[in-house]
Amino acid sequence: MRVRPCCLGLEFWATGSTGFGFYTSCSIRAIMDYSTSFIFLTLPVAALAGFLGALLGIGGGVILIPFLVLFMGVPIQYAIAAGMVAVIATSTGSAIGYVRGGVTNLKLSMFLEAGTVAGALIGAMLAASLPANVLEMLFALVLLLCAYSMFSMMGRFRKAENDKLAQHFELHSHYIDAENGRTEYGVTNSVHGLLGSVVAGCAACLFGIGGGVIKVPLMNNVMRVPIKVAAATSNFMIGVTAATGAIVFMRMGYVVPEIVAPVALGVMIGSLSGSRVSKKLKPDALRKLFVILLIYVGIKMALKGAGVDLGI
Amino acid sequence: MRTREQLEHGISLVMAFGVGISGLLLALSLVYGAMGMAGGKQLAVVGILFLVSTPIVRVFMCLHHFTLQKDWRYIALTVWVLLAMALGIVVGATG
Repeated sequence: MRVRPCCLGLEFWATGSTGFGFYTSCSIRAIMDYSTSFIFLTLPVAALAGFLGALLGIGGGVILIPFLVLFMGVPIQYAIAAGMVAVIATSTGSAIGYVRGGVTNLKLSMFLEAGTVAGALIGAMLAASLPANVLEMLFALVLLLCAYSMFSMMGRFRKAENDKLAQHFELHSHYIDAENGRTEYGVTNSVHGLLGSVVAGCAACLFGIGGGVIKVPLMNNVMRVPIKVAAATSNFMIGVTAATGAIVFMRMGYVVPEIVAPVALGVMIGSLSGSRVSKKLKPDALRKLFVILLIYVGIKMALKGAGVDLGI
Repeated sequence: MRTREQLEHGISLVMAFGVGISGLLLALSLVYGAMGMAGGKQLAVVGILFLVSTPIVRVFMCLHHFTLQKDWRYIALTVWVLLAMALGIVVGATG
């Protein structure tokens, strides 16, 4: 595989089996091989992606992967694998507080993870076998869907009682916050939830993103879990889904330490500072700006998949 | 880790530890890389492995918790999640 040099002059030569698996050694030869320029370009952008992600409550992957593909010339499979590892860092980092505060529903997370891990395996296999331009087109679709879901507001929340399956798995729980005190809630439509998680896990590994865009509305609107719990639980689940995907990608050789290190570290730093700021900020204006950015990047990615370069 | 609170506390500690260590290792590897010193890549590999194992460790902690509670439904679910992760190694090898 020989990949065209891109606008920043970075080139990849990958020969045969690449990256590091559990048994294979790294044989991807990037001329930037830990070059300072790649590190210093990627680190701040990854940090910005993580920062925005934490601010808007979405993973940084949606911003990061297009950047790696469109501007750094990283082949999309490698970018997805790097995103997958970075997602573990952000979701784990931001999940800590919610787990400690008892907002995360650990039982619900384990119940739905049974679906996401299955989806993760399917998604990772698809990511490795689909041609790059199909992946780029599909990724563009996800970006545009993201833009849509950020644009449209979620429906008014109504609490529900446990359904049969939820009762069997004791998915109901409660959480305590300053605003409402103790809030009890039940979980309904658990079969839909489980099936939806398979899709979410598949999408996560196919695109190297957390998949919160699917899981949060799924839990909140379909399973009628309070939004705070849905966001915290989704975040917590992402770690397991992403680790499964990362294992598959590692074994396939798409996890290249030289790419992953600056990406993961940058996203880590960014999401830490982002979650600090987000408590003091109302990010409505930012949200609108971000929707425009998503649409722009989505169209650019779709055109790249179709073999058209706009040059802007 | 008998109660829900103990499990929550344990998991949050493990997550903080995992992300902290891997962040340090990755930062160190970048410093090595930027200065052109050998060993940067190896540090990055260890950092990545730390990061990937953090969620795995916390699934094992859940398994331990559910075992103590003799909660068979959740023991089965947790074992399936671990099995699927292990399957990832096999699936990756064939891709």
